[in-house]
Amino acid sequence: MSSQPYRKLEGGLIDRDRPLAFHFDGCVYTGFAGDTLASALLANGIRLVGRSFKYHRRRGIFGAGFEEPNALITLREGNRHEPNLRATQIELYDGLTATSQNRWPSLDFDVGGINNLLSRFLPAGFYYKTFMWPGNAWMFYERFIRAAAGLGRAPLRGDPDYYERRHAHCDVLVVGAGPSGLSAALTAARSGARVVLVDDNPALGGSLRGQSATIDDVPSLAWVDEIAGVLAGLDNVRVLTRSTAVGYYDQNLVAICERVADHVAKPEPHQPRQRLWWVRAKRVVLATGAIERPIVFANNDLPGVMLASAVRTYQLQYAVKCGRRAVVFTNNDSGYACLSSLMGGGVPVSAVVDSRPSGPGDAARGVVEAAGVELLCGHAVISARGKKSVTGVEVMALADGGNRVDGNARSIDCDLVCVSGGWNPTVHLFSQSQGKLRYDPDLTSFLPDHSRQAEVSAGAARGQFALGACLREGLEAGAQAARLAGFTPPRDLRPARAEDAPEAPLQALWVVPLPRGRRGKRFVDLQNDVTAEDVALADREGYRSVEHLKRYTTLGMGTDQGRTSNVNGLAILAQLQGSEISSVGTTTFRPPFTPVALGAVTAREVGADLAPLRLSPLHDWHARVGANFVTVGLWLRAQYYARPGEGMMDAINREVLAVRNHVGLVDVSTLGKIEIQGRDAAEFLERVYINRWTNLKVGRVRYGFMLREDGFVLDDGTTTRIGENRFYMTTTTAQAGPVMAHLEYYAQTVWPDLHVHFTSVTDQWAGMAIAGPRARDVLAIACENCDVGDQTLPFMGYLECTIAGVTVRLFRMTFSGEMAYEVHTPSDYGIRVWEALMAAGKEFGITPYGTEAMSVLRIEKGHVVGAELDGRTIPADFGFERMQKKDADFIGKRSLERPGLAYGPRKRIVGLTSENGRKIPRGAQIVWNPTAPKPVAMLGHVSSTCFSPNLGNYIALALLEDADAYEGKLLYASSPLTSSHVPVRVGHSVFIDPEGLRPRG
Amino acid sequence: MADKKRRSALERHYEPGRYGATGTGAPGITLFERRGLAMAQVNGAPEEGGPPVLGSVSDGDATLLWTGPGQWFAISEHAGAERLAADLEERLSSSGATVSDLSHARTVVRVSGAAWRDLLAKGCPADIDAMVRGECVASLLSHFTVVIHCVSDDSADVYVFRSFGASLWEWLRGSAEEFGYAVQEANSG
Repeated sequence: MSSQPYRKLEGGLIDRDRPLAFHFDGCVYTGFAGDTLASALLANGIRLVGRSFKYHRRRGIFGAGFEEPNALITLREGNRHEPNLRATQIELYDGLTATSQNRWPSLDFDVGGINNLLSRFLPAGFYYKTFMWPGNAWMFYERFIRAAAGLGRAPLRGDPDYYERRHAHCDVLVVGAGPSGLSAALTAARSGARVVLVDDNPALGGSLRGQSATIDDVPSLAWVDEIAGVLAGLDNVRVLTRSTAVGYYDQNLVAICERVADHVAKPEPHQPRQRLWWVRAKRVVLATGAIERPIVFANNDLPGVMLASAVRTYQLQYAVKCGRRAVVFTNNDSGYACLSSLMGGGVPVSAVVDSRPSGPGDAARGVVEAAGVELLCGHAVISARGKKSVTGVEVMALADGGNRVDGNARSIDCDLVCVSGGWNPTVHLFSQSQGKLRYDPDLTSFLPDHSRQAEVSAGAARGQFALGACLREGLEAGAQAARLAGFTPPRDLRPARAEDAPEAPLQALWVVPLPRGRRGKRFVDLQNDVTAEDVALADREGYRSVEHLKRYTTLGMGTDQGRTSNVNGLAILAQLQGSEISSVGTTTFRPPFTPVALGAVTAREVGADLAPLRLSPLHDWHARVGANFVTVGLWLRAQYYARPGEGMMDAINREVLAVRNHVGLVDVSTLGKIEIQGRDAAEFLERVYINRWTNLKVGRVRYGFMLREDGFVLDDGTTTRIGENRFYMTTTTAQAGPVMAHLEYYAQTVWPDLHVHFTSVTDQWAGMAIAGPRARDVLAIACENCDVGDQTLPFMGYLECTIAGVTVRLFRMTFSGEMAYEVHTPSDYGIRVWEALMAAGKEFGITPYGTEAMSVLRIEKGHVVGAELDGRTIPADFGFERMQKKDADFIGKRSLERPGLAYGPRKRIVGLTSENGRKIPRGAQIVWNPTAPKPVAMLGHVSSTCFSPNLGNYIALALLEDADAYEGKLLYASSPLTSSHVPVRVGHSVFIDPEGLRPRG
Repeated sequence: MADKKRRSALERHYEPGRYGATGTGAPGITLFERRGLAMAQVNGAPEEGGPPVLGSVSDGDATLLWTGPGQWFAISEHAGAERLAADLEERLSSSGATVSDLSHARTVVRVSGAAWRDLLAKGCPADIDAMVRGECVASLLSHFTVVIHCVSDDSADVYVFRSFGASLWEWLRGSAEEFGYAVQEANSG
């Protein structure tokens, strides 16, 4: 196996019968099934995997899981390429292709490395300093800083894969399937609770996969397998592996990103790449474990400096030797755990450097003595040696309780430094849940304190690092969660058993002092290139709060969110300020715990599925005849029906003229329709409309305005009295929802004593308007056994009749200003009735028309729509002051008496006609003289504009100050946005049939 | 009582067949549209005699779904569209309840098969996994306002506003792909 020189011949949880070829920076290597990209690279002796963010320093693999700050790589190629992934979490698959980042031209020779030499000139906050001094520095630096910023590059092309979303509910959600999580999940499941167990890794076991321990007298992995088997057999348990709990939100809602097909080259057909779970849990158990933290010393970023726990994981889980000769540097007993795995795995250890003067506890001391390794107590590694990677360390004795180093430096050769500075519980999800953290000076880390949600932390996540304690705590947390969710745990609960050897206490050592006169970069945050000196500089420059420190130095930012750097940084700040870590505090953690692909967040709602589409019941007819469609809100509406060879304007003009001169048919199914019923329905309408309703006769239609409480128009529309206590209201398309909510609000909260009910019947009815001088002739043919003459169906009248064998509602009302009727029929009959009307109208030249022609017709007639009813207008602005009843109250009435609304001056609606034959710009301001010195007084604005084929000119509706005074005057419609200034003549807003004779025909 | 004059909102989108992932055995999802139903909404419904909160009652001919306080949604396969509303009105008028015919206002899709809960739980934040026969919930399914009625252990009816019917149908089809799905003739269930 010379191809994997650092692979042990036996052991590990890898499958040596399944070799996998992969590419890294263009070279082909081999690993095994069960490897991560990181373990496979280490097995092949690849130590350099990336260049650092700012100084482009050489970086190697540092950790073994989500804590990894260095080994960020780009995975896959082409439009599946994904940047900034942690090599420690990428499962190896055959044909995997990965590339290193932030280097040019190559990883080994990187031009950006010059930054390292210039680092004296690139201090913390350099970026901000360029804003301040010298004068235009930022303008100059911006180009370079922007080009150099970031690590990987975003893909440029669309993602070929798709993503899914899944909602789920459970009684107990357990995050983390290590010893604590497995105990908790099993206990809760045996209580009968619905359990979801989620773990980041492909297999259960958590930390147990990377250590050798005994549980209940069997190897810990055998215990894991047994529990996994039990859980798999229970139908009240859902186990999600390869899944990271990334966000903890209110009411115990936890977002979990499941990597469904990230461990293969590409998903199977129809298989999503990732699935974002939204799990609502009654109780949550956080068994998220702990992350080892380093001790900071000079050149501690050289490839070959690694976390001791990571080294142990690589040795045991992946059967990979991380080096040829090691030095262990620790301030606590857990650092000794890697010793036996190194020695047993064929990596000799030159020395164990323990910063504690009294050294380790008996158990750890026994391990060192048995291995025959030199133990240096009260010493520290002051610096790592080596150019490309570690070739040795310098060790000195500590003095003054660790504040100073003393004596002569001693050099020890090695290519691997295993560092352990203690453990930080993984409190990120707890912190996201709004829980408060507490600094524990004995454990020298932040622990969960007060919960704000229905959750509990267990095991290492709560600072219980010993295995036996984790197993007990997990069981207790699972039982408690089940109980609080309403279940009874079985009586025979017994925690699994594991021996916990007594340990000597940890002694805090955050950063190793430099000997007098020595320089050296001591990295606190490897991902963001923040050194101990940067923290000191920030403190000197006044950034003394942790929040300021974070922003100024970028300590704790980036994709690893400071998992291996936060507490060290805070401790250094506290030291500088002579205060305690507990009083310095910590920043809070926000979602996501690890970066989440945007695809997983949006799921299927991309492209055409970004928003749903509403289709009219007549849609299929429009599509069949080749209408052009336009989206109006969520609706897709027929805009115009171009004939072969016709342009858009030709078609619109033809449709408009057909309505004015013959007859046209338009789909108005999108209007909001509300059925209002109840003994007090008429009284209710009386209160919400500005006009009179109790006197409306059955079979009659009335037009009205509805106001908001502030007096401005909410909507206009017609309501028909279908029966004594049954009304049929139509609203504008856009306001259908708000009007329904408005009515329900008043009925439910203001006048609950009124007997009135509302049902949205928008989707029940297809609506079509037939308009034009021949409209009645068409209906006379289409309607069966029914007289549609003026006697039976007068203007603003209503009756029910039959067309094409189905029942229809006929309303005589007009939007176009022509003689017009609306025909409403149950939706499934819509096309049938539409086709019957088209057939009946054939001899009169009936023309289907779209929203554009409809708009022209109503502008010619001066009818208002949303463009005029824009939330700033009142009925009087449109000449409807006489509609307002004087003797009864209605919503908005008192507001209309406010001086500004009652006495003005207010803009009123007018009609504009183009004086130079050019289009009046939409949204234009109306001015005296567009070339006058600025600021030019704005007299009003254009609300609706169109070309009128009936007038042969461009016209518009506008709201204008002193409308009466400007009648007949020449003004300008000025649109600086489009640099067009059109002279317009002010006139009446009704351009066609101002006497209103046509609809009454 | 098939009304031949009725035309479904899915007419142009409906094609029976087998789609999506092709595994062994039965498709994970079967979809079909329940057409020609009579439906009505009852407002101000009496407290007694109706379905329980988040539940339904059925007397063989008609089913009543609880869709909100004092609000029922009635469905019948057999009654003519106007008959159902008229019958309910007659029976309930003394209670002060009012009835609106909504026979044409909803598209109804029956979703069945081993993966039906996985399919609907993609878009619905309610607890679909725990729904039992007879339960119903007014909620969201992806973008859509829907009522989901669990009609058996392995099937549910989804009610959506007719104008959104085609859009929801496409969502259901796309979301069912990973399970493999069949579209059956409308009303063939």
